[in-house]
Amino acid sequence: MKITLNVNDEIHKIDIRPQDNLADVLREELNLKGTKRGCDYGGCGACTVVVDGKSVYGCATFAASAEGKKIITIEGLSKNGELHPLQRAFLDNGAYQCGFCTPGMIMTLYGSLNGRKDTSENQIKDAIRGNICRCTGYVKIIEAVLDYSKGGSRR
Amino acid sequence: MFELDEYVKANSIDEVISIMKENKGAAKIVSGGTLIHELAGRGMLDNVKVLIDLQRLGLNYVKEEDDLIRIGAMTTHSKIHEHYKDEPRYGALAEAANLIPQIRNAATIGGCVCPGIPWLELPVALLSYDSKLVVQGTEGERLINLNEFYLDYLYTTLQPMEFLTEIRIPKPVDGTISKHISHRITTVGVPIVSVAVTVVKDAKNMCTDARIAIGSAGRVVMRAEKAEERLKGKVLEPKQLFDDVVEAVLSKIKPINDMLATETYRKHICKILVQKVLEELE
Repeated sequence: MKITLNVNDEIHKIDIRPQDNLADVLREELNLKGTKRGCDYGGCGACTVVVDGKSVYGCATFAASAEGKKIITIEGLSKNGELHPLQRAFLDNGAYQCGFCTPGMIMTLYGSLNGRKDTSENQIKDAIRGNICRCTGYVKIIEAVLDYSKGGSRR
Repeated sequence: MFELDEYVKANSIDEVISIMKENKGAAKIVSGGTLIHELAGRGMLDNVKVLIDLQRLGLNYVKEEDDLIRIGAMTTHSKIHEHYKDEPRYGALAEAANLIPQIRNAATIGGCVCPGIPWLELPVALLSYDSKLVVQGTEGERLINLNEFYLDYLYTTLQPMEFLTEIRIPKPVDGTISKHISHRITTVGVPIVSVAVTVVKDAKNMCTDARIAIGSAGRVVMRAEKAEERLKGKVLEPKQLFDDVVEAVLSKIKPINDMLATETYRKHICKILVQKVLEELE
């Protein structure tokens, strides 16, 4: 079936199979490989993207259902070659190890924070409880978001 | 293999019913889509050829009337949580809807009620409110008591050509307190047991009405009616033990043994959760 997707403010007309999930379509059809595939059933958070301002699992969303909605992936955060402040905070705080969960973590936080800067540690923990980091780097991730909340970087 | 011929966004209730008629058993309703992907991955939907998406039917709402709450079948967990998180009368509803962000943003109340899966959370909370379901079918609209909806694992009174459009909850009377609690091993996993309790108290803290619902403790989510009877007439005080109520709950449930937990462990957790919820009701 033919659908039109709005991804990172670009309109894509693509041909998909009706059962295709959004994560697969982003990766295979649009070549946006920043969205990772982990567990494939909505249990690890690596495929998280933001649809109409809310974070959802890409692997548990039908691509066909996302037609007409505004999709943001990790590739859509940086503007004019500048990293988004949240990405910058992850980088400055070393909030990643292998990096596989990082796009999902950042997209979840981007969706949950929704531009807010007054986030408490508990709110951050609530936001990322659907994301698994198997390097167990959670402490650094929380530090990075707190750093972002303060609007600064620790360099 | 899960392979669809069609993914249709229906524009009206009549269109949904005509697509279901046309495809006999091969057409299923999709709402948030979160559960369908998991079931498809387990090979449980190989005979499904058409999915009918309800997002254009305008079923994403929470409406409050004089003595009734009406929640559209396509309302997300996030919306329900946001709406009721600060109201103790709706505590069970708000807490059961507070899943992990990516699921609560997509998963809908209808998608949670219809499959007849005992480990989903919202049906437990809804049972504790004596909710009713509004269902559309070839014969028109009908109303089903949620208490009579679940027959067996994956088996409900919903007929093949019917689908859910609305959940109706009687507005809780003054003095209502409602709580939901569940125990999980990991945040992304399914609950070991979940418990929802809704009580009505009078001015002297005496329980005048009670409903206790348990999830993940048998083939269906269930009410523990005997335990409810034992709770009525009791004075609710902090730290008070409700041994006879807990015992009645335990005699009702029939948890399974699986890789997550043994039957014994589930019963133990159930006992702790019921006790904890009751202690918090004052």
